[in-house]
Parts: sequence; structure tokens; C-alpha cells
Amino acid sequence: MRRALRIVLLLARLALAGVFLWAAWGKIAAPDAFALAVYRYRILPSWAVNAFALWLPWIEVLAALALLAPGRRWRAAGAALAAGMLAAFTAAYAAALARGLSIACGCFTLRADAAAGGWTTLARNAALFALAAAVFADAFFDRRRRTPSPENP
Amino acid sequence: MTDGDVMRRGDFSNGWKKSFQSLEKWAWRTAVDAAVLLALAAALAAGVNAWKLRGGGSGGLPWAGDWDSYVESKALAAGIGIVTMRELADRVPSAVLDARPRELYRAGHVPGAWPCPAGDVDASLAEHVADLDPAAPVAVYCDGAACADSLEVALELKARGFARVGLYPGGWSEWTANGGAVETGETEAAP
Repeated sequence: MRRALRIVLLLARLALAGVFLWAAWGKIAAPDAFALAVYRYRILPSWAVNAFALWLPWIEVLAALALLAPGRRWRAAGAALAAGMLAAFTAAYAAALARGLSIACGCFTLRADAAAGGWTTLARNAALFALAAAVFADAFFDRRRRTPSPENP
Repeated sequence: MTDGDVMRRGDFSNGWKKSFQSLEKWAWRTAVDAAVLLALAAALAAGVNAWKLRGGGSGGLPWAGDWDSYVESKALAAGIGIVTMRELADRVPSAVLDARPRELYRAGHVPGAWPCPAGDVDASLAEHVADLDPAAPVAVYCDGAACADSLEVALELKARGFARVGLYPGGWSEWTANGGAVETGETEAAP
């Protein structure tokens, strides 16, 4: 049972890291298209849109790499970032839906002809959040048991 | 879940207080680590973007964009909706108006679109969409995000009582760059 859980958590880490690296790639390649997607959420003020669009994909990259780290210390930090981002993405998209905005997610594809995602997008983000939260809980709480000294992670 | 884990792992023997203190330490450590990753991400973003802006790669972006003066912001402020390429391709609007000059329209336009060059709105409307229901959704486009003709026409339509006017900000450039269908000459079919 415990072994099965380990495998599930390993797969969750690999999946999350893959998803984030894939998502970041398109955004780094086309920051202008991603900035437009961010702008269309109508959440950030005008001056912050570009800075956010430039910064976010690199957070995704580093969170993905940290999720793959063998040590629990960076894994916990990466999972915390991943869960935080997914919670924020889900909230942002839910807010857009609630305001009646029919916008593309801007999560993976930045194509101009992308369809608005709707509830499927929301459900997918929520599922990814659950995975990230599970990986975080494992890295964060388990670490305490195995390495009693915080100075020696 | 936390409580259950702690019980199972026998941390009880350390006492609740001690275990909570150690948890608090870990929380701080994790928060600091996450902040380090965020700072590192900002440094990477700044470095790569500076390199792109200097010509090392395509797609550099100014850090502070002026989105308030973007045509979409002006349209929304005026009560004009935004139409996406997907909606245009799916023929969601009842009528599509091409706000570019007529020779550009004849050279190629979105299938089913009617010419309605800015500055000539009355004549164009009378010619092509005289019987259009003012409650029907209408979309307007021009070259792309940098042109203002579509916004001008959209505002005029709004002033003429059209309730659901939409702007397609990507315009002709986005439409063709993404493989949108092209019709040349005049539109034959009714919109």
C-alpha cells in the first residue's frame, strides 16, 4: 500500500513537471501572445501585464525542476509553488467565467484561434492542483519524520 | 490528514509542542526556498528578455506595456465586445464588416464579410446590410491590433443603435497568419 502510494506520488511529480515545462515553453517562445492572454483576464493592472507574462513561465520552469529534485527540501518548495500557481490559475479562470468573459485559458496553447475553455479548463486546473497539493503534503510532512533536524535536510 | 499522519508516525512521543515547532521551522524553510525560486525566476526572465530585446532572439517584450491604450481596452470602455478568431470562424456574428479600404477588401477578406470602410459607414450599411436587425451581433475588423478603423466603425454602429457590436482585434493579419479562410472579390451570399 505504502509502496503504491510512493509510485503514485512519483508519477504525480513527473506529470506535474512535464505539464509545467510544456506550458512554460510556449509562453517563453511567444511572450507577446501570452501577455495578450493575461491582459484578457482583466485582473492585473495595465502596467503589470507584461511583467507578469515574462515572469510566470520561468516560475513554472523552476517549479518543475524543483519537483524533480531528489531532495525533499526543494521538492516541497517546488510543490508549494506549483500548488500556489494552480490555485491562482483556477481562481483567475473561475473569476473570468463568473464575470461572463469568454476567454481562452492561455495555459498551454496561445494560438489566436484557440477556443474558450470553460468548465473543462476549470476542472483540469483543479485536478492538477489536487496532485500538486498531494506532492506538497508528502514532501513537507514526510520530510519532518525522516530528517529530524531542519539544518540537515 | 495532518493529525492522522502525525499519530501514525509516532511523533506523539516528541510531544505536540516540539512537533509543532519543528513543523513551523519547516514551513519557514519552505517559504524561503519558494521565495528563492521566485527571485531566480525573475532573474532568468530579466536575463532572457534583455537578450531577446538586444536582438539575440525574437519575441522580446517591454516590461511595462501600455495596455490601457490598446484597442481592446478602448472598445470595452465604449461598450463594444471582443470577438475572437474562433467565434468569427464559427460564424457567431450575424454580419461581419471589413473596415479596411475597398481595394484591400477586394484583394481578400474574411468569408461572408461586407466592405464597410471607415468614413463611409452610412453608404456601406445602406448598400449591404440595410435590413440587418439592430439586435443581431455584428463584428468589425481591420488590419490588426495597430489599426483604429474597426474601432471607428464599431463606434458608429453603436451610435446607429446596434446593440451587440463586437470588435475582432486580431484583424486581417491574425486571421491570415493563423490559416483563416480567404474570400476575394465581393461577398455573394447574404450574411
